[in-house]
Amino acid sequence: MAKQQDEWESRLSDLHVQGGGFSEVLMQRILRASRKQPSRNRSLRWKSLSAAVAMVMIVGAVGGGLLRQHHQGAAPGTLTVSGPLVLGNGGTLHMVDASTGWALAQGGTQVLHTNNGGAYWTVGTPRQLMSLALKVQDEVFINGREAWLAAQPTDGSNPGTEWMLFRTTNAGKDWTSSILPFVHDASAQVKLNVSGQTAYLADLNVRQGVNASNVKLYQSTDGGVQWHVLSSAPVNPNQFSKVTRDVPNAIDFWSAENGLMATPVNPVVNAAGSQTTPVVFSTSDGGRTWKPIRSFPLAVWSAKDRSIYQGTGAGMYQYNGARSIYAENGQSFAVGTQYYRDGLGWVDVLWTTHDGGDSWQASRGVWPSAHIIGDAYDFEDMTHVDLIAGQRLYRTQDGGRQWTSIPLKVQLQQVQFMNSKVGYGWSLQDIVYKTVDGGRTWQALQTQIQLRNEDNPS
Amino acid sequence: MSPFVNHKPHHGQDPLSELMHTYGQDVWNFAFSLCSKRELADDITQDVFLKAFRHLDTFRGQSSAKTWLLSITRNTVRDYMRQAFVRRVTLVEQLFFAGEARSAESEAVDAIVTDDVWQLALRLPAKLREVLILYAHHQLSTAEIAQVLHTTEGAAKARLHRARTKMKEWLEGGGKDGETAR
Repeated sequence: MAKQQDEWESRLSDLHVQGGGFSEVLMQRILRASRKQPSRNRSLRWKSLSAAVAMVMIVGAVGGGLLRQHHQGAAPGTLTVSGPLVLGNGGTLHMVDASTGWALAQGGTQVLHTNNGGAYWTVGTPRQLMSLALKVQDEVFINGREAWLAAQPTDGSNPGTEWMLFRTTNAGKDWTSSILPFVHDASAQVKLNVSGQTAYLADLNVRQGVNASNVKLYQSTDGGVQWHVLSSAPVNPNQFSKVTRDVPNAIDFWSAENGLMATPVNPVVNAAGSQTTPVVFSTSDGGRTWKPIRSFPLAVWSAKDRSIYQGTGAGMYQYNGARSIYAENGQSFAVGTQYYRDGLGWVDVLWTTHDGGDSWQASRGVWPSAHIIGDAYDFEDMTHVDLIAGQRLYRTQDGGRQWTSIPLKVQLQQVQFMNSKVGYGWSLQDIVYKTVDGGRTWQALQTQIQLRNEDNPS
Repeated sequence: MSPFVNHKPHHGQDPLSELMHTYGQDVWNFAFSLCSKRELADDITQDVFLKAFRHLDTFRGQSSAKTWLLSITRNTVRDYMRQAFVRRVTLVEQLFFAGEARSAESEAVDAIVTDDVWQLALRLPAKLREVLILYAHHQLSTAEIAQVLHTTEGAAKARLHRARTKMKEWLEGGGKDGETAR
C-alpha cells in the first residue's frame, strides 16, 4: 500500500526513548523466563512473571546519558515505577545524609525510604495507614532507621477510626502502632517531638478559639505506647495554629527534659516596643511546665536603614512570628523570624543567644524581593544556616552577620543541605529537587520507587 | 504448522530468539506507545514473547508475524490495564508523580521522548493513538490495522482520519494542548 504521509507522520517512523527499548538484556531476561515455563497453559500474570525474574532492571537516564544497572534481590511481586518525585500537599522530605532519607509522599499517605540519595526508593508505609485510610499529619525522622508518625483519620474514612502513632526502627520494614484516643477529634492539629524514648505530642484544638486549655501536651516515655497529659500549653491556640509542618522546628528538645517552643504568630509590636505575648518558651522538666523567655528581643525596625532597633517607635514592623527554632543546648539556640510592613515587604531575621536567652544577637536582615509563605530556615548548626526566601537561597556561615544569596530558577519552599554541595528541596508544586553544586542549580530528582507485594490486592 | 516451526532458524537461533531479534523493537515500541512507561513496556514485551512462544504452534500464518505479535501486544496491554494491581500502580504513579497543572507523568514522558511529534502522539486518546502508531510507525495497511484492532477496515480508516486530524490541529496550533486528550 502506497502511503502518502505528511512530514510530521514520517517523524513517527522512528521512535527513540531515552533509557528504554528492546535491549539485549531484556531479551536474555525473556529467554530465561521462557526456560522456566512449566506448561503452555500457565497463567502469565504479572506476579508470576516477577517471581520468575529475580533481577529487576533499573533503567534511568542520567544527564542525557544512559545508565543501566541491575538491582539484585528485588523481591517477587514487586514493581518499579519511575519519574520525578512529587510529595503532594502535606508531603515532606527528610534526608538523614547524602544517601539515606525518608519521604512522605502522596500528601502524607505513603512513606518512602532511600539508601542511595533518592534515586531509588522503597515503600515503607505502615499497613494500617493504608487499610484505615489514615494520613500522616506530623512526623519525626530520627535517623535512617527510626521514624515516628502521627496519623489522623481522613475525611470520609471509617467512622470511629482514631488517631494512631506509628514507629519503626528498621527503616519502615516493620512498624509498631498505638491508638491516640486522647486527640480531641479528626480535625485536630498535632505536633510531634521525640527525644530518645520520650515523645511529646501537642494536641491543638484550634477550633475552640483563644483558650489555653484547648491545647494539651502529652508525653510518652515508652516509645509511644502509653501517653499521659503533661499540662496545658502556655500559649493560645491561635498562635499554635501555624505550628504545622511549615514550621518544622517550632518545638525542639535537646534532651529528654529540656526543650524550646516558639510560636509563629505574634501581635503587632507596639510603638514602645512592648511585647505582651511571649513567643519563645522553655521547659526543663520534660514539658510539664513552660516558662516564657521574656528577654526575647522586641522587634522594631527602622525603615530608614533597615536595621534593628529595640524599644523605639521608629519604623515599626509587624512581627510575623518565629519560623523555626534550633536548640543546640541549654545556652545556645536560634530563632528564625519574619517581619512585615506594608509598602516595605518582608524581612527575615535570625536571632541567636549563647547565654540561655539572657541576651540576643540579630542577624542582618534578609530582604526577599517577593514573599512566599514557605520562608524556611535550615540549620546545620548555630552559625551555618540556609534560608529560602523569595526566589533566592540565602546562606550564612557566621550566624547571620553576612549572607550570600543564590537566585533560584525553581521556587523552592524548603531546602535541606547534606554538605556544602549536596542538598535537597521541594518546590511549591511539591516536586523534589536536588543540587550537587551547593544550590546554584537544581534538577528535579528522577526517582524509581519499588512498590511492594502487599500493594497488590490480588 | 507454524511457519516458525518450519523455518530454519538463522545462525542456529531458536524460534523465540529469532522472533525477538526480528520483532523485539516493534513489540517494545508498540507497548511503550500504549502505556508510556518504560518498565511496563519491558514487562509487556516479555509477556508478549512468552505468549507467542507458547502459541507458536497455533500461529497459522494467516497474518504476518508482525501483525500477529502487535495484536498480542495490544491485547496484553489491555490485560495489564485491567489488572487491579496495575490500575493501582498507575494510580500510585499518578499520585506519586502527578503534578497539578501539567502532569509529572507527561513531563516524564517528554523527558524520555524528545521528539515533539511523538510527544503529541502519545497524548492522543488510546483509540486514536494506537491506530496512528500502527499506521505511521509500524507501516501497517489499514487492513492490517483492522486485524490488530479486531475491527473493520472502515472503522480503522475512520479512526486514522480522526487521529491525523487531531494531530494536525495540535501541530498547527503550535501548542501541546494534548493534556486534555488523555
